[in-house]
Amino acid sequence: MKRGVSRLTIIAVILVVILAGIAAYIFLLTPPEEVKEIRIGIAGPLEYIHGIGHRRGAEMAVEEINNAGGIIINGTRYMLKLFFEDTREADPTIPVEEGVAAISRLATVYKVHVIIGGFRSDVVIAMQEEAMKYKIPFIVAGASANTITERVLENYDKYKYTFRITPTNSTTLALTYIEIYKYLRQEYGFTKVYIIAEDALWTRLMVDRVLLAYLPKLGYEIVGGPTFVPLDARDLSAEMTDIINSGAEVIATIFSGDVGIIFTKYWADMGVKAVPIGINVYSQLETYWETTEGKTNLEATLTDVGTLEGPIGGTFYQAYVEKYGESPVYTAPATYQAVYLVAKAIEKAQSLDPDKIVKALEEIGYKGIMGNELAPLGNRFLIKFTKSHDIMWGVTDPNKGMIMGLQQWQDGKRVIVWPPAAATGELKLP
Amino acid sequence: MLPILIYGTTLGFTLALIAIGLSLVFGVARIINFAHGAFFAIASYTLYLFFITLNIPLPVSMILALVSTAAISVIMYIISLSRVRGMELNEMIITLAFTIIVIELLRIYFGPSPLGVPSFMKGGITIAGYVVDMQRIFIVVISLATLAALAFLVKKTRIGIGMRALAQDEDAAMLIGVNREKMCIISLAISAILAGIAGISVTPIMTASLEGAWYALLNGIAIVILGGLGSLVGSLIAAFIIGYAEIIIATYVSSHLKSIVALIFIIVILILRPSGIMGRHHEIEERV
Repeated sequence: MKRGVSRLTIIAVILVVILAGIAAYIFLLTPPEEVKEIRIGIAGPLEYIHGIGHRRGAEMAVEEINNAGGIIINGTRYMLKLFFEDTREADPTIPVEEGVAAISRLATVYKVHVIIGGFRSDVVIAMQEEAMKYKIPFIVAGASANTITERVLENYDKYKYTFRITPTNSTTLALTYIEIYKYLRQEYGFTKVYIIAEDALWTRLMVDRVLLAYLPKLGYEIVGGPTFVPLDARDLSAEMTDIINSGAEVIATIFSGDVGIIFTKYWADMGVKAVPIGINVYSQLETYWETTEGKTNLEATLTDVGTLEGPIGGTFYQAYVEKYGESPVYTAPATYQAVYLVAKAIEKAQSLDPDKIVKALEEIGYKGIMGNELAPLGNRFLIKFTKSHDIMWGVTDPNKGMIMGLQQWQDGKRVIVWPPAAATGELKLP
Repeated sequence: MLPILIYGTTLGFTLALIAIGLSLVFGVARIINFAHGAFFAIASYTLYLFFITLNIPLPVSMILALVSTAAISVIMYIISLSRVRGMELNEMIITLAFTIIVIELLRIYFGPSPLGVPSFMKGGITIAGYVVDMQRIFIVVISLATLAALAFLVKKTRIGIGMRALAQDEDAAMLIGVNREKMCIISLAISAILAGIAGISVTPIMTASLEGAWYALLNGIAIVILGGLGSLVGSLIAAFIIGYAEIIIATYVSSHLKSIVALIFIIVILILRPSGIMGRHHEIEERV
């Protein structure tokens, strides 16, 4: 008996074939969503703590942004990709040309859209020239020379691609120093100060134009110094004897090099009673307690509050320590926020055109945005650019701009003792 | 005056340890060893490596650091200096190049930042209101012990007698069977150990730093020239003269001038008395 295929079966088969075809078209024939790259160049001393901060801060931000889906520009999804160039600039013997070459490679080989980084002012000034040549937005995250941003005012068309997210410039650094001494005079009644600094152009300018000019106006008697110590000094016994004999209550310090370590050791070894309060860059580091075997106890230094446990930078600090097992240096939170700033600017501009990115950065920056609103782990102070593309200084108020803090070593811990908005403890005296 | 006495004395002992090694090598091997500062730095950094990085107990770390320093000095001699013996300019250039290579290698491996090592002895004593920490007292004690051991070695042992013989008359010493190469190697190793002891002793105070190499070399050369090339007693006296001079200048004049004290001594002595305070090389003086 011959039995034909039922009409129903034929229709079902046809339907299945059609549906399979549609499915195949959807899943197999439709091209995948186009994903493009936003290339961000990181230029810094990548083997040194400052450059490690650049790298890690950038990696944290890029990971977060990409995990959240990247950035959509005119309907196309863009993922952020980092390109690194080592400038080795933390080594003072390395010439500026290495920084210039790094920018050149990022611009011509990797064709990055934005560059973030820089640490040594003289190198950054040279890097800036190169970045401007290629009209690439350059977010400085580490150098403080005024010149870098003054150029934006002097020749806007050429230098408008430059922004600085950290630190504040040399002038605000000096003024913060004076704010601290005003606070110390009011709260602790110090009157006798001894000034000691490493011998460098920036320290001489700061001592001559700021400390000698303003400390007497605040009611301080300068009982000794200013003493300028050679950068390679290895014996400070004579200087400590002078401090002891001066009867100073407080030592106004300015050290950025390793002579600061020698200072701390001699200060403790010779039992100097006056307490050092000022700038000693090495003492900002988490490892300084071990480096000086605790001799730094009660030494206080100006620092970036974004690198410490506290109300301003605590969220980033905790995430960073959890991820990398050590404290960040100031370039890390700055680069982290810079990547977010760039992402936000590109999203706003809906373009990778450098002029449009600059315009968007200016609009975001001029209006101001709290760091923690900008980025999940951002510092809790207002990020706002001045006309020179410098980050706005909030003096003691984080709602008005970036603030710096006074950190004091207390029994192995770094405690922020000023300003009150960032403080995690009170200043202790010997 | 008391701080000058205290800190000038500790500085003098440190400089003595640095310079006597340099003087010894010149006296025995006739080598103006520009690698001497490198030995100072190598000892500092290897102490950090063994004691801090590898967590080896301090006494063992100190011995390992000194052995490493001496071994490197011997290797340097065998692969380079032994091939250019007698060519003073070549010796100076090779040892200077060695110092630069060592500094760059240390920079690559340890980084440019100075490294801290804890004091070997904690606490301090107060003398007339001035605190002297135990590390400085340790420097004085270890320096005295080292200098005494060196004096014993030079005066009472066969090696020391051989060294002295070579220093007095190389040809005569070789005629009576003194092995010149062996003595040169031994004197270089002892010299490196002396620089190493200085480097190790001051590291807790001054940190392990690349600048330490130049600091040791510059001061070492100044002391050896002031004391008289090859004269151990002269170097000892000169070390204290420069140590006290540096502290006095820094106290009463300027910290900046302190760093040029050694250089001024080099120039003045070379012009006025090339043989130094106790130098035996009067022929230099006679030539001038």
